[in-house]
Amino acid sequence: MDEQQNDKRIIDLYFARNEQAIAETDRHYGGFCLRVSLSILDDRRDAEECVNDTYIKAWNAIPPTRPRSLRAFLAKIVRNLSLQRLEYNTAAKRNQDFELSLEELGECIPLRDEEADELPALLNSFLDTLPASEWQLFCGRYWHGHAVKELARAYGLTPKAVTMRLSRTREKLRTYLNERGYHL
Amino acid sequence: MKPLLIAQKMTEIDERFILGSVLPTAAPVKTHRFPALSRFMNSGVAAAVISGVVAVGVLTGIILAGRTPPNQPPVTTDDPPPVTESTGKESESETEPVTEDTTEPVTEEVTEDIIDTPEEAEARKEELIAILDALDYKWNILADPSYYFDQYIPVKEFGVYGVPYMLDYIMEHEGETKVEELKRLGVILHFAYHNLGITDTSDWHRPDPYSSDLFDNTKCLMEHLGEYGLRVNTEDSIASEESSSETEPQS
Repeated sequence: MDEQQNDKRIIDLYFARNEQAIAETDRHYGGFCLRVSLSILDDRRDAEECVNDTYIKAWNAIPPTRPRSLRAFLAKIVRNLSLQRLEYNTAAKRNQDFELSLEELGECIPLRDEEADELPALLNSFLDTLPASEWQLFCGRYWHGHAVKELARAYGLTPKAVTMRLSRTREKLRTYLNERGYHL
Repeated sequence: MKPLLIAQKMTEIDERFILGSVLPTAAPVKTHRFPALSRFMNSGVAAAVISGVVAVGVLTGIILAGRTPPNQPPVTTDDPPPVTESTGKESESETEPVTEDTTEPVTEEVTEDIIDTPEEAEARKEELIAILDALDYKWNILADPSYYFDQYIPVKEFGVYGVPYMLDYIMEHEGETKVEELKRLGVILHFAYHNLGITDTSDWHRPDPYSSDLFDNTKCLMEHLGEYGLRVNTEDSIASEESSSETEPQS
């Protein structure tokens, strides 16, 4: 059974208010959600709590929502919850690598807080201008929070090459936003 | 903007970017869909495995598994599908309830016409290559093969005969590192399992819902994989190798 079929089956369970939906979600996406959370939080217990909260949110959201991709739907929820937990956590419990990635990203996004709502659309249009090889590295680093070494291993590159490519992409993003009138 | 706010807003980017950047090997997904591929890709000895002896036993095992005529019930230990004469739409949908959409006449015509013979698949080779080109295949299929194949490549239309062409094409084009080549082979294997409808190596007897001749398709695919020295080193394959070596010696 492919992922689409599997998603449909699980989502149907949610719509039927069958609690097996949670178990199936955990079975198929529990590891993935935990990985997303752990890339943000350094504490496994915190991450597991976020994953459990994700299931509750999914249960409350489906129905009426019918996600096109359950994986992406869950990933967004667990990432948001993990970010909220990160904000709450003390500095000692923070994931330093993720913090570093946030700093890298922050340096190339000259938007003010009040312009935050414009960021998703700007990022979408920017990523659309990139070849897949670039946006995959970019999102791997700044969305999924993967370490440079992980990305290098996954894409058959050296860590240095990944760092360089990310740096170039960040510079492109800064230029892209500057051209659209966003300056600090 | 505060970095955390940036991160929160970034969560809202388009799903295709999220799914397209899921690493194929790093995430410890609790899935049992492709255990052989997962072990193979995560083992760290993939290069050694691939560069080793071609797994004739594995091929034979799968080929033998494919010998089950499409109209007879496959031998499975845990989830045997009902016995039907799969000559019409109704019986097909009964044997493979998850593919309820395939009961549409158009889909059935396509799968029967395209997958039955290699010649027909050959005729679509150029079209497949054009699609791969358009996809910037080397990155996209690595990121999340099932997603991209499902979303953008008409897998069910090309069938297993598309796989060898993809292999040929990918291997011929561009100078890539060995690591990337190995990854692509892993992806192709992933695709092969996916397309064959095999969700687990212990489930090799399961018939391909999109194929009218599993044996020929499997044989064709595995021969091509074998040409590249691809071996899947799993307990299942070892078992298959042992059993096949008893029944059908390979050179």
